[in-house]
Formats: sequence, C-alpha cells, structure tokens
Amino acid sequence: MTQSHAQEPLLEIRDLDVSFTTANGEVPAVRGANLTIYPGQSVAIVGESGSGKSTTAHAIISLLPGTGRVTGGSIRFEGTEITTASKQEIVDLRGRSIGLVPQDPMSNLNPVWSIGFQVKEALRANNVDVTRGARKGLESALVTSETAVADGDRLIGRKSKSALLDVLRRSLLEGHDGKPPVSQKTADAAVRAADARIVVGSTTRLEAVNALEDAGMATAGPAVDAQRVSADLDDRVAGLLAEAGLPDALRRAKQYPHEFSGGMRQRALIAIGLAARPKLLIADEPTSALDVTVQRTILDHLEGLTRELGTAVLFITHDLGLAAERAEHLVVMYRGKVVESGPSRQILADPRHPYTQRLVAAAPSLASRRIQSAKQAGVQAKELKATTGGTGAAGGRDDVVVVKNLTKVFQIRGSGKQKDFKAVDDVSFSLERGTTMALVGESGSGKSTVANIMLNLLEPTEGSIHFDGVDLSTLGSSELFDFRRRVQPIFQNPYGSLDPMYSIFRTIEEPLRIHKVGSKKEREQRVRELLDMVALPQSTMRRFPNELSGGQRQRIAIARALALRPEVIVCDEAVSALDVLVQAQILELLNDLQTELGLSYLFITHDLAVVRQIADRVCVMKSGRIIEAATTDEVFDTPREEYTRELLGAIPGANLDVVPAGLEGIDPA
Amino acid sequence: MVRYIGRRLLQMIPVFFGATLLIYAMVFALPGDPIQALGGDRGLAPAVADQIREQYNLDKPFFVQYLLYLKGIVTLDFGNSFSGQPVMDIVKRAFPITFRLAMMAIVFEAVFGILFGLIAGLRKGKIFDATVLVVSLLVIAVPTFVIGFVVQFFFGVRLQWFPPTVGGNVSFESLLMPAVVLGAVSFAYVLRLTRTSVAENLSADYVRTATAKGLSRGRVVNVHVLRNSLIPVVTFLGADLGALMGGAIVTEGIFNVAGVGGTLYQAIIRGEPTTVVTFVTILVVVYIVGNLLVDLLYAVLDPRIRYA
Repeated sequence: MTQSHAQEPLLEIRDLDVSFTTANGEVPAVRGANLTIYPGQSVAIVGESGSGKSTTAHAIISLLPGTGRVTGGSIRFEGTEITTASKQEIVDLRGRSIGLVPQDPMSNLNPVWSIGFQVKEALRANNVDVTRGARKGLESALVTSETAVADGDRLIGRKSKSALLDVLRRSLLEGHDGKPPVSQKTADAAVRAADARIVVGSTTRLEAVNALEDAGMATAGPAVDAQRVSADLDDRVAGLLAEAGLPDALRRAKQYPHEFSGGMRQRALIAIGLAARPKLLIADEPTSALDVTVQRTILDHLEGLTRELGTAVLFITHDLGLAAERAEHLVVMYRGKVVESGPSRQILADPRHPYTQRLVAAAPSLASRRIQSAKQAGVQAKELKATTGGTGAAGGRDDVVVVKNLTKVFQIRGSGKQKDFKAVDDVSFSLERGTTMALVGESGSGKSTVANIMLNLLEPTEGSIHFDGVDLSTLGSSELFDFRRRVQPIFQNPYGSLDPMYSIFRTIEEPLRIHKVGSKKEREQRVRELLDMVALPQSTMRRFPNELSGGQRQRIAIARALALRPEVIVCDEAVSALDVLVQAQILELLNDLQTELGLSYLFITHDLAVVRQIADRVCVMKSGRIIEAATTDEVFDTPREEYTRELLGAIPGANLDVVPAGLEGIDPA
Repeated sequence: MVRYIGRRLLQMIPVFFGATLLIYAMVFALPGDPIQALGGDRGLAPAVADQIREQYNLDKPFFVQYLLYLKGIVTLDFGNSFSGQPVMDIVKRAFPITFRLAMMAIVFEAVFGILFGLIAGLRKGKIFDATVLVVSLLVIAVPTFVIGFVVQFFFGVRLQWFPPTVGGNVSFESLLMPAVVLGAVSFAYVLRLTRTSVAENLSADYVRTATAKGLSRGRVVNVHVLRNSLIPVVTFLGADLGALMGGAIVTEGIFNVAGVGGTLYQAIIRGEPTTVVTFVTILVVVYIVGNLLVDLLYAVLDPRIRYA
C-alpha cells in the first residue's frame, strides 16, 4: 500500500539537530537527520541504543527528556512547523494528530489509576465524540475498509447491545417475519455469534444490523433503530481496548495496571495511542519487552488496526528483522546520523553503508546458522579426541549435567486459599560436556526456575540433578561450596548483576578471594588475564560499573563467572538486554571461550534467533514441561510441535524471503 | 477490608496492656519519694504521709498497685491526681486543646508543605526551589524554642498581630502562632519530601505517556504527578500526628498552652502514676489509630495495596 509520492508528506524532517546540554557542554544526539512520512505509510528507524532514533521520535512530539532541545533543522507536520510551535499548538497536536505507543509497558502506565481511566483521559483531552468514536468536527475516523461510518451512524453501547441480543433471541425462538421458530440450541448459537461480533463501543449500528441479519434475523434495521441510547464514554473505552485486542474489555477497563500482564498493558497503551485517531502513530520499540509470540500478535494487531484507520506508523526499533517485516521504508541511524534510507527490501538485499551491512549481518533473526568461525576448530578437536579415545567417557558421550524428572511446585497464596502452582513439571535433559544446550520458552514457561534449581538456588520438589555423576541433593555444605566453584551463572541484566559500589577489580576478584585462590598478587594477575579473555583493556580494573556500557558490563559478568575456571555456565537470558551488534559480539565471545576452555553452557532464553547462533541442542519448554527436545538444526528445520512452529514463525523477519540472498554476500562465514 | 480493620483494632488490646504496664513500671522506678516531695522542704508528718500513701495505694507492692489501677479503669475510674482532681477531668481539659493545636499544625504543614514542595519540584534548580530549600534547611536547623520565642516576640509582642500567649483564651487566633511553630519543622520535611518525590515522578515514563496523550500540563501534574508523589508524604504525616500530640512540650511552654505536653511534664516531675499512665496510654492509642488511618489512606492512594 505504498502511497503515491505526489501526495503532500504528512511529516517531513529536514536536517534535524538535537543536542543535550551536559556539564561538559553541548552533546549532539541527532545530527542532520532527514525523514519523510506520507499519509498511511509505515516507516521504521533502525539503530542501536544511542543512535539517536528515540531522540528523533521524541523531538517530533516535543517530548525530549531533560536538557535535550532542537538546535537546528525543521520538523513539519502537515505543513506546520513543530520546532517553533507554541506550547498550546504542541498540546493540541499530541494525541489527536500524533499518537505515541511507548517502549516499556511496565513503566508507562500510571500504577495508581485504572486502565479505563487512563484511556478515558486520552478521549477527553482530545475532545473525542464518543458516540461516533470520532473527533468532533473531524469525520475522518473509524473507517473500516468496507463500511464507512455513514453520516449520523453511532456506536453501539452496552445497554443497546444486551437489548439487541434479547430481541434476536426472542425473534429466533418465536419466529418472525414468516420465518419459523428455531430450536433453543440454534438460537443460543446464533446469539453467541452475534455477541462475538458486536463489540460495545466499537461496532457501529450499521455493522450491528449486518451482524444480527447474519445471525438469522430477517430485518434487524428497525430493532437497531429502536435503540435510542448510543455508546457512552465507558463503552468507547471498552471498545478501544477491544480493538487493541484486549479480551473482556468492559470488565478489564476497571482493573489497574498491576493486574495486567506485559502484553495486556501494551494493548492498553496501543488503545491510548490510537484513542483520538491520530494521523501518525509513533511506536517506540513497542514490543521489545515482550515474548516473541505475544510480540507477533500485538504487532499483527497494530498493523491491521492502523491499516484500517489509514494511520501512518513510525516504528523505532533496534531489531532490523522486525523493522523490515513491519515497515515499507527503513531509515538506518548511526551515531545521530541517518546513514541509509530506502525501501525495506532494498536495504536488506543491498545494504550500502558499512554500518548497515554490519547490522544486516548481525541481525540475529536473519542470521540462520550457528556461529562457526572458532567452533569448527572445537569440533575438530573433539573428533580428534574421540578417535584417540581421549575423553575417557565410557559411552563416548560425557554428560556433565543430568536432570531427571525435575518438578518444582510453588505455593501461591491467593484469597485465603493456598494453591499449588507447578512451575516445572517432570523435566529431564542432559548437558554434554563442551556443548551448549538451550532451554527456550516464553516467560512463565519455567525455564528460569530450572536454571535456579541447577544453580542450587532453589530446592526441587521432586526429581534429581546429577552434576558430574553426583546427586546435588546429597551435597554437604563444603561440597556445595566446591560445586559453586564449578557452576557459575551469567544473568540477564548487566545493570543489576554488578554491585555498583564495587570496582571492576573487586567484582572479578571477589569469587577468587572467597574461594581462597592464590595470593593477592596471583589474584591480580588472574583478573588481568580474565579481562584479556573478555577483550577488555586491563585499565578497566579501576573503573566502576556505571562507567561502562551494557555490553562491557556483560563482559565483566562473564569474566567474573570465568574467574574460578568453572565447567558449566548457566546463562539466564545473558544477551537479551543487549543491542544486536553487542549481542553478536558477546555470543561470539562465549563461543570462543567454549572452544578454548571446554565450557558447557546451559543457555536460558526466549529468543530462538539467539539459540540458532549458539546452541547445539534445544529443549522447548511450555507451561513447565519440555515439549520438544532435539538438535538445533532439527528444531529449526523440522519442528515437530505446533508450539515450536509458532515460536519460529514469531521471530521477526523469519518470513522475509529476500534475506538469504541479501546475506550471502556479507556473511563472513 | 472490614476484617483487616477488625484485626488492627484487636491488636490494640495487647498494646494497651503492654503500654500501661511498662509506663507504670517506669513511673514506679522513678527515683525519689513523690509523697515526701509534696511536703516540700519541711516534709510531711509520717502519719499524713502514710495516709496519702494508702489513699493512692502506694504502700502496696508494684503488681498489686498496677492491678488496682487496671480494676479502676474497667469501672471507668481512672483515679485521682495528687491534688485530688479526677484524672479524667484533667484529660478532658488538656486533650481538646492539644488536639486542636495538633490538627491546625498538621493542616498547616500538609497544605503549605505540599504546595511549596510541588512548586519547588516542578521548578527544580530554579530560584524558587533554591530559596525554599535554604529556608527549609534553616527551619530544620534552628531549635524550636528559638523559632518559638522569635515568632512570639515579633508577631505577638512587637506587631501584636496575634495574642502572644494562649492561657485560658483558647481561640483560633490565639492557637494560630503556636500551631505554625509546632508544625514548622515537619513543614520543612514535608516540603522536601514532596519536592524530591515530585521531581522524581516528573521524569517517570507514565508521565511522558500522559503528556503524549495530549493532556494539558496542569492535568498531567495534578492527576499523574501529584497523586503518586503524595504516597510517601502521607506516611510521614501520619507518623507526625502522634509526635505532634505528645511532643508539644516546648511549644506549649512558650505560648502557655494548658495542653497535654505541659500537664504530662508536670505529672512526671511529681511522679504521679495515675496521670502519667492515663495520658501516655491515650497517646499510644492515638498513635495506633493515626497509623491505621494512614494505612487505610494509603490503600486509597495506591490501588496496588489491598488489605485482606
């Protein structure tokens, strides 16, 4: 649905400069950015954190944080210059012309107000006529592809809906207009069908007539006309939430954010962003905090909705796959500058700028093979060992960790009654020495619980874990101490897993000191060695976590985990919080270290794209059970379970056929 | 909710017994003989002293004294002070005054503290903010009796805007100055707490979302910043209510208010168990009820908190 470019652009950014004032003077965040969006078009700005993509987006609705300000260039929205607009003009623009779907659903809803209240505010502030769902004076909105809202048409409210369903049931049961009565069962089914089609606060009267007639009512027109009460504000709020894909919206609207899951909150935020039917929707990393499958449904929904409404969408994302899949046009930003822009497919197939080339090569969703470079050496070494009988394992297969029938039950204290929740249900797998095993699943699938039991941070309810042939549950306290030395974790959040008060040296040295390894001098030598190993300068030792970037911190976390020369490393979403390029570097580092040191990894992740790059075997978890276990290639090429296929299908960019062709030229492998 | 309140009220029973026993023991352990002190330098005749001791049960062992006191309470007899006045009469005289004073102080510190704190938080780093911060620091740093005397001298004696002391004339005007002095320190704390809280919430993601919805600045501040910022402030005010009720000794002394603080101070000096225990117990109950109200208000402000 590319628009003819003869049209007036909706948004035009020319030579935009944005700077932040710091103690050390002006720091430019965006330098000479250009961007054009036509009505109804979808555009994505792609870049890593700090590339200026979010800053550009925030400049459009004048929401630059802190000391940020536009220092040059222009932003024109429908011909109005935004950079010089008055405060009132900006307030008028926000919500009604330009909507925002923010990044993190957890922090973007006010915890003390109900969801419905927060949606309602968006309607009130923008003077929306709730009976029609359109802004007063602007009949642009609520246009579904086939039914334009006829002049005077209104939205169905909850009272009208229940009255109409009653009429439908009665007419069907009693027979009407020459139609014979139908059985109770048929009538119930028809009412259910109509019930599902008529959405309070979203369905128009015209659509209601259609729905009732499809359900078997001969002439529904008069019945609908008889309904004098149209939708009120609460109905419209429910309608908006339902349009955003929230089930049971009337009841849900009364709940508070903490009663919603992340995906539901994101739907509420989409409802808020689209409430006043803006012409442009800025979606700032709308789903990066969500599971892949949830991400997919939400993006599908957003795409359908904005297409129906004819809303232009500006995606801000670090995920090239997602951008290419969802947007027609890509703008790649790097260090505040737009380095490349053009139609999505063209950029993927033929990236010109070196940065874009790196981005395309590193995009985990697009890279379709195991990291090979160093790995091959490892495989050869292993084969060599195998042929010479070097491993010493009896069956040729040397499992360092064997998990048998693991079950973990948590007791949840609900309203007075205690309920049992099986977080892990009869899970068995084994981890072969020197390989990587990935445990994949959505949040709530129990994968992190398994990790915590493996690290002996949680006691299993049933089942056993054997580490190097020894049952973990039999370990005494000194043996447990030894065990901790041999199994080390790397956690998801590099910002939270390092003590901000500890210098890097102290952070890495601490495990050595606790385990009384070497003299002071030897320990310092070891810390230097470890920093070399994770490719950080030795001078990093004297710095503190807040002075390092996310990628650097994760390297520190890896160095700390390696300090005690462990055999097994449990990586709990170790790269999920990182940008694609950093993610690729860390994965390569982990891979090289595995080859060098013969490490075994248990890799916990929700991201199948990452799995493909690092894992040898994959276990897919769902609701506490392992539903599929196989080699990585088998899982990706011939997934057996429907759920696995769903997960695979949900990887952004997975279905872009252009990708392999585009990748061939660049992939270093 | 009802069950929660019921449970909290039931918790007051052990607190009541614990508090009375503890305070009774402490007054009992006070050094010196209160009866001999009644006689001043000349001392009392042994027969008179014994008679008074018997009258106030002071000749009996500690636990018997305590149980007799409890028995009196059950029959709503709170005993008499050494001057022969029923303790309940003293309570009825002192508490209403102090209660009015504390209420006025708390309204003062809440209204002005939150207002100035809000403005300072919204204009962080600007001149209003800087001024308010310095002034509030001064108020916290300078002892209450200094502020009290200075205010009394200027507004009461020099300018004569307000009556310099309260005495028997307990009116709104006469209590205004003591209330402001009493609430001054807490006012400074409320102001600073609100300021920090507002400044922090101002950069919250949901505030940006609210702005992006197209809400006016005023509505964003009132609906999204202020309510969230008030949660810690309410906690502070609740705890402060108890402190204001009992801890007004200095202020009541300066302005000659015949309230709880002064009466309690005198009773402690005289070593009168009945008065001290009754007063302190009432203060403990006030404190508990105040905290309960704060907890309930908390649930109103923050829907994430639900009591079951």
